[in-house]
Amino acid sequence: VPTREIGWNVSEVAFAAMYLLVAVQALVLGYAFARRYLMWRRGRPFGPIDRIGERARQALAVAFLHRRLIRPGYVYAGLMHLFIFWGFVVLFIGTVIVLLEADIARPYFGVSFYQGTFYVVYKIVINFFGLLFLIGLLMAVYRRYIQHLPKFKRNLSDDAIVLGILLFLAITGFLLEALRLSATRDPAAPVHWVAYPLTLLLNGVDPAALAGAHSVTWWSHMLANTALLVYIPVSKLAHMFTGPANVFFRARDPRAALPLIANIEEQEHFGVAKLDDFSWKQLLNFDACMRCGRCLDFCPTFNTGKPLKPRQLIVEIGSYMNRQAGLLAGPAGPRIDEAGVRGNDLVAANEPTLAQVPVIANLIGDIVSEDELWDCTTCRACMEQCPVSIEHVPLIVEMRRNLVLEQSKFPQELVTLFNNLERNSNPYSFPASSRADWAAAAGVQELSQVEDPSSLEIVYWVGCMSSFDARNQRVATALAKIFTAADVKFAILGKEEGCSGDPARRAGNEYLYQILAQTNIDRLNQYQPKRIVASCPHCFNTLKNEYPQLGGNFDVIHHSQFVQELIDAGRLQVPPGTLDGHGMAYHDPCYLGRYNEVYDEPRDVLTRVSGGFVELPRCRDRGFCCGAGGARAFMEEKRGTRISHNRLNEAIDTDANGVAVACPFCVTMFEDGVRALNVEERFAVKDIAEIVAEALAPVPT
Amino acid sequence: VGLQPVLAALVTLIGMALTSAGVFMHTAPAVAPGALLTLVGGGWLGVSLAWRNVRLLPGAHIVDPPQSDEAAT
Repeated sequence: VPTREIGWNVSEVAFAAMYLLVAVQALVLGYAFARRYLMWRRGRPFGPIDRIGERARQALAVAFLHRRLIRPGYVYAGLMHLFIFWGFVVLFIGTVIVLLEADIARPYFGVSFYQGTFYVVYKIVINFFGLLFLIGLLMAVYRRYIQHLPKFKRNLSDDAIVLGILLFLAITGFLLEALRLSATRDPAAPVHWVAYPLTLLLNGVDPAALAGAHSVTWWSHMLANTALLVYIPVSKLAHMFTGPANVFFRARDPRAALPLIANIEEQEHFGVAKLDDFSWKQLLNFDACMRCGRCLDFCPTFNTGKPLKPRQLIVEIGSYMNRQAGLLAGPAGPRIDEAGVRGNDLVAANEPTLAQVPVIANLIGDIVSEDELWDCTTCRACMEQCPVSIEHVPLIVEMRRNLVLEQSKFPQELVTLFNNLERNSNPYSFPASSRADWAAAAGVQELSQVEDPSSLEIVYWVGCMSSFDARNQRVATALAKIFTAADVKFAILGKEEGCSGDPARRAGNEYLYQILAQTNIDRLNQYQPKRIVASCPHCFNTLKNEYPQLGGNFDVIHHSQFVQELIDAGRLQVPPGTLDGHGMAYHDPCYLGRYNEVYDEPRDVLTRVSGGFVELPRCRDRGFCCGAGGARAFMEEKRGTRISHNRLNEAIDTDANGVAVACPFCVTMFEDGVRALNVEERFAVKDIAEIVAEALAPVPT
Repeated sequence: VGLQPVLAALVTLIGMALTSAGVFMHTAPAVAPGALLTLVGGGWLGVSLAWRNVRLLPGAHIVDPPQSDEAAT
């Protein structure tokens, strides 16, 4: 009957040591996770945690099926992790089965199941998953240390320790099996189909030597196993628990809204200046990161050489948090190298003492620089790609809120922005009274001029950019032409429209945002529009997802969606488009795509009107920002290369005729870009509204 | 340090003694409960030490700067 002697060649002392080391493992596990829990508990309240079943399903799907890990562009990395994960899980279950046989079934029930067919199947399965585990680890070594990806340029010692221990366990596990099979001349050796070829190499070796080697390997394997279990809770391996937990607790609805500061007039403290100011869920974010670097892949700041690197931000605050929790050994202190680079591997350098002295550090300034915080375009590429749903953007905005509302520390350009928003209700120095000047020329009526506002099908929310910027006024005019052609009864708020508040909110000025938003909400409530069509994705997102926090509940859609509806309903007759050359490339505006998942409608409109379009390599949820979001449109881009140029070059390289967008900020960034790159003669920048309007027959005036 | 860590340490020690007895005296039925007590006791000890803010690892630790009113006092 195929089986094996459990504990062959293992002395009583070795056995006792194995069991006694359980105390050390349990102590460290209990201590570290309790320290983490106590640290999270310092955070502000978060919630409510509703829809438990749905949350649990999503967390389990991420953990066991790797739902967010295996996706287009990440097949290698996803499979690598899947192999490591399932290899680890099955090998752990295999170990538990052996313990059940040795310590429960035999001593208590006098039975043995670890033999015969069960044993054969067990060994075949364990060998398979052991091999999978080993392959996954070798794939990880290749990816991190041989492939030389820019995002793995700076690895931490933790990364090497984790891979080293796991590889050592996988190799010594197979070696142990091969040594035992050779030394005992086990007739069931071929069943161990991965270890078996190794036994052939050991043929002819003295059995005593094999036993000696087995003993040494057993001890090293057991000690490595202890090291692993002790290391899990104090290293990035903790993500095996904190990752799924972070997915479970992630913010639910609305996915695109920033948290509201309720009763802002009564608050004395704003945003985040220290760890305790984060919510407990935000603190959990920092422990969930496994440093895979997916947040960097489509990050506009990382890819243009700016100080902000979302992974580094999370890792450094996480390191700061765990040093406060006493979970990271060694001397600590915020440290900046000569090049001004911050890194938690630099933190430990050159400290003179290991004494437990407290090192005072400010979260903003010592751990995270102000430049990092102001570089963010809030494009959400990091959040979209993160496999464990770390929510970077709200963390950054929370720290901006503290800088703006409490410390009055923000870039000089924002002084102008805030002043203009306060005085003119637009980001520029134009008087509010001139907001509808473009409309008069285009024959568009204002709501205040409409006798019966309830007769209107839509209110067109123009936004500041299309109201005041000459280039984007052409987009607004084109859209008005489309509405007229489709016989849509519409009007604009005109002089009664104010900035939606998006730039103020993303820049951290929640107070100003709430004033602007409340003014707009009161005005809109007064008119009770049936539907609002916004041509600016930033306004669209704010009106749709953030105004409900202040009592503004409106039916809001983006103009790309509305134009598609008009075409579908046969109200807008556009001749079937014929492709001109390669056609135009389509650029996904972040606040339309990633924030609101409007990906297909603009593409559909473009296909019908132009006959086709060029899909950019970085598209849809993997789209690359134009650089204007997060109030960056109103700040100088002083660090690194220009984000808009990076994106434009990608589009130009496709040989497209130009780039089609659906956002006035993207229009402006790219128009500036084509001029700077000197390609304006051959590379057009157009909003899809302009493309549709051009395809229409001239509207009789 | 308090009573809890002492009790937890005691449970761990009993577990370790039971496991050792099981291994060295070949009384296999003692191993499983011994290991379980070791596991539970060890974990309990870890949690209770963490709760009492006992630092197990050497090295300096980072603290937040004092609030301005605290600094003034």
